[in-house]
Amino acid sequence: MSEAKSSQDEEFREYVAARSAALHRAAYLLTGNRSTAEDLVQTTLTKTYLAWGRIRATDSVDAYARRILYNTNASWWRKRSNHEKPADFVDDRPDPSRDFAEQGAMRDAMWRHITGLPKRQRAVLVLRYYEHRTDAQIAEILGISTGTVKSQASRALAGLRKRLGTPASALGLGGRSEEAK
Amino acid sequence: MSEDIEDLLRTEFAGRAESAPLSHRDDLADAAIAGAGRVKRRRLGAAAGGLGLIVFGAAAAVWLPWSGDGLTEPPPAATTVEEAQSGLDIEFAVERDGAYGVVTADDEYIPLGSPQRPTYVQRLQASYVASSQRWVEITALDGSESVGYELPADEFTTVVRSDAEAFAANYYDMDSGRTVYTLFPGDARGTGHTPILELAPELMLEDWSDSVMVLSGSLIDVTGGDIGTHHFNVEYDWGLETAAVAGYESVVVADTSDPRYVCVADLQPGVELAESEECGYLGEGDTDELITFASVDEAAPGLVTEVSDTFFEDGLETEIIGDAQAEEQLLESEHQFVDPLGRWQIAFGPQDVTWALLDTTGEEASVSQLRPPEGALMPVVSHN
Repeated sequence: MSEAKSSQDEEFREYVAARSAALHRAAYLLTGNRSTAEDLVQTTLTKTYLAWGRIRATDSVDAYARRILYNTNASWWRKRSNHEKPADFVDDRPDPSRDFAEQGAMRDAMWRHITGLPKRQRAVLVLRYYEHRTDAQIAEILGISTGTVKSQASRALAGLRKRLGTPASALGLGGRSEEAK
Repeated sequence: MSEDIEDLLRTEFAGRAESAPLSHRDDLADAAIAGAGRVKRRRLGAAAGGLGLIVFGAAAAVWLPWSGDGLTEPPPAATTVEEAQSGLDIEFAVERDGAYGVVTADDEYIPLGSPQRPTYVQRLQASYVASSQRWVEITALDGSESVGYELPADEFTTVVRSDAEAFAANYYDMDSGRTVYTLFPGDARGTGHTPILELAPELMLEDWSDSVMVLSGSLIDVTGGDIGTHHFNVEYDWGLETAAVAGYESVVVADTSDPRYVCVADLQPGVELAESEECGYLGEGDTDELITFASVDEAAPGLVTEVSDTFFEDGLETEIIGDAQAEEQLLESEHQFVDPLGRWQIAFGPQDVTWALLDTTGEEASVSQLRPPEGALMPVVSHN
């Protein structure tokens, strides 16, 4: 191996050591499970390394990796299992008087709703509410217009509002089917 | 309200991210370097084979035709119904003259007995199952018999058993706070027993046989992965005793974060009791033997292991080739249908004349537009 290649690889290893945890967290929010998040991060790092020679000297290595992460996730198609996709039920605001197990169930229900969103809507929400990106930054990362960012966010929030306003939410839990829409 | 929701999202994302299970692998970088080498070699191989590469960026498609003797035209943007039927075995649920039926892959029309417009049609080993509001209709594959069942909920979900011999319809009952599962045999004779399970909503039915029910739920959060005896059903009122009443020998609950960790409830069929669960890891200790013993079924550990192994299903990274407009439709559309056998996915919106079809049978997934047959409502989702 050449000295230059060895040095380049070492830089890449340092980048991975510094940033992989952050990539994992974002990947977990995007995919909703550990196994797929790990695959997504690994694929992202592979693609990042393929471009390493070109991007390593720039200030935008992390932005590049994040763009890869989000867009790779959008192009992944998970085989669905024979059970339903995540149900459209969500909890209302946490109530301190409820016990731990119940609150856990409610949070899980909320999470299931988020992971049931279309991928692009979920990506917009993660970028906006987890990474605190502006709509312009989100548009750049996802390669879409700011108008699309706004419409996707609006649609996702409207879905949440609708479900938070259902009678079921007053009880903390509710349910509906995927096919009986 | 909007700000409340936005605050809730910030809190939820921050909390989830903080508790996200991080990889402890220390070879991520080296694995990426090795993977990049394989990708380079594959690209070289593809070019040497005379293939054109179609690269989709985030929003734009770039057509890079191979200049040699290989592919010189873009891939076809449309798939015909005949191609979908013959190549992918796609069947279509259709409405014709006010009645509902299925157009099979052989272009044969099979009438469904459904009295109302189906919202979802599935194919099991011996029948079509058409779901509609408060109703499931089970029709023999040749259309000769049909039987319908009314359900006490407007909206419900179905779960199909892995052998496609049976299914369950389930809904959340707000009065009892339970998820109610009605188990149906997948035949159209209407003579089968339809037992009912009433479970705590944090449990989900994953699969079942004639002896064992396999559920999923969050266990490790509570036990920390402890091996031994627990009393979830008693402490958390899970409702496992309803499986005993329904005639099952055992219930196995797999953990949602590590589905190799399971808790086994040994039941007495017909006796409304589920006193304790024995928890452990599949393939370790005597867990598999315990499942066999509790289920009185040597095949039971295999069923549980299959659920565990496929709980987090593989992500397929696809180099999607084909029609950019159809790809957008595939990503964005409201109605999404996925072939459980992994051959295709279809998406369309309420007003769409054409559907987006993703063919996943090749090395690369190709997306195209499909103009469905006259009266088509949706593709049939086939489990056999």
